Amino acid sequence: MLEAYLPKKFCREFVKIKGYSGQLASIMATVKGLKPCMDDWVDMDRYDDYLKACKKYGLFVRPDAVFKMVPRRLVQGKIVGSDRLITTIALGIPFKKAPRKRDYQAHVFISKKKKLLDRCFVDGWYPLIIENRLQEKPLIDNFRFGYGLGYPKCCVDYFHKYNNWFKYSYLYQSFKNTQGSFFSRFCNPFLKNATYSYIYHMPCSYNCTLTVEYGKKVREAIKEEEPDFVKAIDYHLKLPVLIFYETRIYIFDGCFKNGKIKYRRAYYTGTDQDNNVYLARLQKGDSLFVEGRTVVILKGTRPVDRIECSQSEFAPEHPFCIQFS
Amino acid sequence: MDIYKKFNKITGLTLGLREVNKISHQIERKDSLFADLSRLFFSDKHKLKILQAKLSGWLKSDSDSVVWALAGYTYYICKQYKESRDCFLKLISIEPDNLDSWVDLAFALRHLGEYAVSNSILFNLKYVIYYYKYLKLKSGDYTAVKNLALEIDSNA
Repeated sequence: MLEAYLPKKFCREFVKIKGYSGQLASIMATVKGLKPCMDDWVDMDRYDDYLKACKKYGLFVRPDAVFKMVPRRLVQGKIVGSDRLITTIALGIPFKKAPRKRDYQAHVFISKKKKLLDRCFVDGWYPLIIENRLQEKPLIDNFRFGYGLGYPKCCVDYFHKYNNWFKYSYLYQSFKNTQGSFFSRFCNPFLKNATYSYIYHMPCSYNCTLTVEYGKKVREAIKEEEPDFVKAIDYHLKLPVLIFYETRIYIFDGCFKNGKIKYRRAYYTGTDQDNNVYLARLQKGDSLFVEGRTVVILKGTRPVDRIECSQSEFAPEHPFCIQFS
Repeated sequence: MDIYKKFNKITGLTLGLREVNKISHQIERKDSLFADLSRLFFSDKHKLKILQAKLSGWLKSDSDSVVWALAGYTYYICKQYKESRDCFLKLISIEPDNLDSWVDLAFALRHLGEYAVSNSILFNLKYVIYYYKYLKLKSGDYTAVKNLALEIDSNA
């Protein structure tokens, strides 16, 4: 269901070099000049090949720090700031001093325009563990980074307000901010780490006008080069989704009707398997619905499980179901 | 009216006393002023502009580290990175053990294109602080800090 996608030709090198197709649509959008800049990760032993691919597509490249991924259990509670680690957990190494080995990943910025690349780069430091401490950039850089990446202003502004893991589930806030019952697939960010998405930002609502506009342009640009990829993205974006919070999202081979998802199988969309705590429970059933902060799982008409969502102080779960058109 | 009251009147925020965040304290940051001002910038730019206009006067009348920090953050948010850098250098000369100021300096330098120096500070924080104190470089002079950071980096 969420296998890597290998394009026939356009940007095929990036998937080959990286070994996965995450952010493929963003790379294509950057090559096409629709996205001003993006950041990406590439294994150090393939860095030169990555540079060659960028050159072929007329992209400027700028490396930042190098990441050495570490399992959460090794750092949780042992480094300053570890309580706020959500997604990527990595030790930081200066680019010039990092070994040219697999598993050491360079954080790179790419753009068609040098000026846009430099603007994005200065705001683009990614939180890293250095000398036993999580080193983060100033919040203002975090806010401005969204503009450098070409995200719509309304979405960046909404992000300023609600990106607070102690107070909100951001994706749920976007759901609450969505007027009406139409959810555009161009505003579906839930598969952004699993290849099949036109956008890489979290929109302010699931029918945000500027996001839809941007997504349509990206779709058209990709369609010119890789029409089969567009078909695959469209298919995935229309599958029903169950969201707990930003890194705990499931899609279903099924449909969402009358508040209930009926499904044959569930799939975890994230990259960090430590966060995939509900898949086995979801697989026990063939339908589900959300009742307040509880996900009720049924097999036929019989309830087989109830997931009582975490209301922890940090990253509280606000479950909701959605299906895009 | 003292600066604390004036600040509160302009921004609606409270200006607390500045605490030194030593590496040994094992704390990410000692205060949230920088983040609070960043949020204010997006919610009410006008207030931050008023604050920015007041700063040079406040810096002349009061050399308290709170004011230098406030100025450093405000200049940074308003993209006046050189002025911001100078405030953080001043803070470092007053309280060299405060890693918050060193980290803020590193990011101001990143914006100024001083990438190698910025990185050296971020990746060698404890050595930079140690040698800065050991060599008694308390002048707030950027060239001295730059040379120190690059020297440490070349030996790291």
